[in-house]
Amino acid sequence: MFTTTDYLPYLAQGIIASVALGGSSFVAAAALGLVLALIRDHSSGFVKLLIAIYISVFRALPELLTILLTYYGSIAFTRSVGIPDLSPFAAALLAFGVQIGSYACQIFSDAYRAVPRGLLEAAHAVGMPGYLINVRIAIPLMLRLAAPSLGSLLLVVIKLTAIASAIGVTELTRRAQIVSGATHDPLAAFGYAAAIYLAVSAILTIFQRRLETAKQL
Amino acid sequence: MQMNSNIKALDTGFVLRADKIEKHFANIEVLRGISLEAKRGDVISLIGASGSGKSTFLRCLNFLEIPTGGTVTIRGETHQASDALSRSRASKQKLRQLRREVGMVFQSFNLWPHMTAAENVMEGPVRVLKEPPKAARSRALDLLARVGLSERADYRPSQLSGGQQQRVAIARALAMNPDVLLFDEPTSALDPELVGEVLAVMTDLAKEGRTMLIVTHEIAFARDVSSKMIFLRKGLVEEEGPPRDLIASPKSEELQRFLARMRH
Repeated sequence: MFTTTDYLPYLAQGIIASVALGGSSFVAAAALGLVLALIRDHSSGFVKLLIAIYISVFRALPELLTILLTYYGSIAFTRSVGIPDLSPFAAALLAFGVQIGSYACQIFSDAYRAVPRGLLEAAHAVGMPGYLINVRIAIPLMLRLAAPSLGSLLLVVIKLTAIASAIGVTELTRRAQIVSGATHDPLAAFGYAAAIYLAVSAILTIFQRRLETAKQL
Repeated sequence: MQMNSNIKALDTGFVLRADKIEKHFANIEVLRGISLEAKRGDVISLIGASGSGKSTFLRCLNFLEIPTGGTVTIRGETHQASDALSRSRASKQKLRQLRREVGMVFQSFNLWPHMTAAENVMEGPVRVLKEPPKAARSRALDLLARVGLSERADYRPSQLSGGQQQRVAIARALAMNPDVLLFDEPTSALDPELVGEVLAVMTDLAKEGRTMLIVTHEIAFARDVSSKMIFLRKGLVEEEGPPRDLIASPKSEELQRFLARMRH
């Protein structure tokens, strides 16, 4: 009979999938959110409305439901077209990217609005074209303003990856379930998993603090 | 006709000419047709109570504010509201050309906080004028030295006093080699003890023959430095002339009252 400690390496390796899925979802979401926030700020009423609908839909849907719909929806689609199915990891990445992207879009929009208008005017006043003002002035300032909220969002996303276990991604929580099934000691298995999540979160928090203090200069 | 007026602007040596600039916000008429001509080396101060439209007028000259009517002519090129509103490449290009030729110094400095003083000064030359970064940096350092800030080149705006920030902003405007410098209440956001250092830099610029338009509440400074003073009231030019005449013998009751208020 194995104890939970025997399974620790197996369990700990689960964090790799969690962080990989969380990290890549976060990057996809941030990129999507940034682009949509910029489009939103420079476009007409109709496009603005579409983006507002996107944000409110995904703010309302539970992440678990989105991920299930994406997974089974993608299978229905690929079977009907006759192409290979999306892997659970890819389906989870797609679902998280799109859903978390709506949160990121809101964060970036708020940050964009918080950039003092005068700083953009100063760029116009030296004759910079619009795209350069975005690249050189608006986006760097926006990222600085958005950094604290984005840091919290990354932590949330890494925790959220636990629900990808519902479609069979064997990340940390899924592995804890498997281990508890084998050892009949759910408390120990889930306890270790919790400790691993805490450790990762602590590391990311320290990293974020460092970044923020470095930036203040 | 358009061509003729352009040629005339060049012939008579005007660096900048504003013709019947109007600006309406919804139903409010902020500017009701202001014209102005600046010759090379002119220093024109714009005075008036708050709400008289002087800052709006200045901002219309480089189209940061798009005028409702009127034209701005600089280097023989006439710009009008319809150009600025058009989304076409050519008009955007033309608008950027205008802004490149007109330097602007803002009340609240508006230095980019994520760049050092030198980087703020270099940004326009490198990105807009396509100067090589090395050359632009050495020119930026020269300009910072001219405003007395050679030691602060690598400081961020947040590490500088208001007066120092405004002097960096002046260097940033000079770096584009503009034909005209616009100053929008450059000392209004400063602590009183920091006003002098900024006015001293501006006085030097006036002495070296820069063409400048200055919106200011510093009447004594305006009197000493400017070749012409314009008093705006309710979106119109109420009185204009040599500053000493205007201050010594204001004709209109409004200017008399305005000057009396500024003295106290």
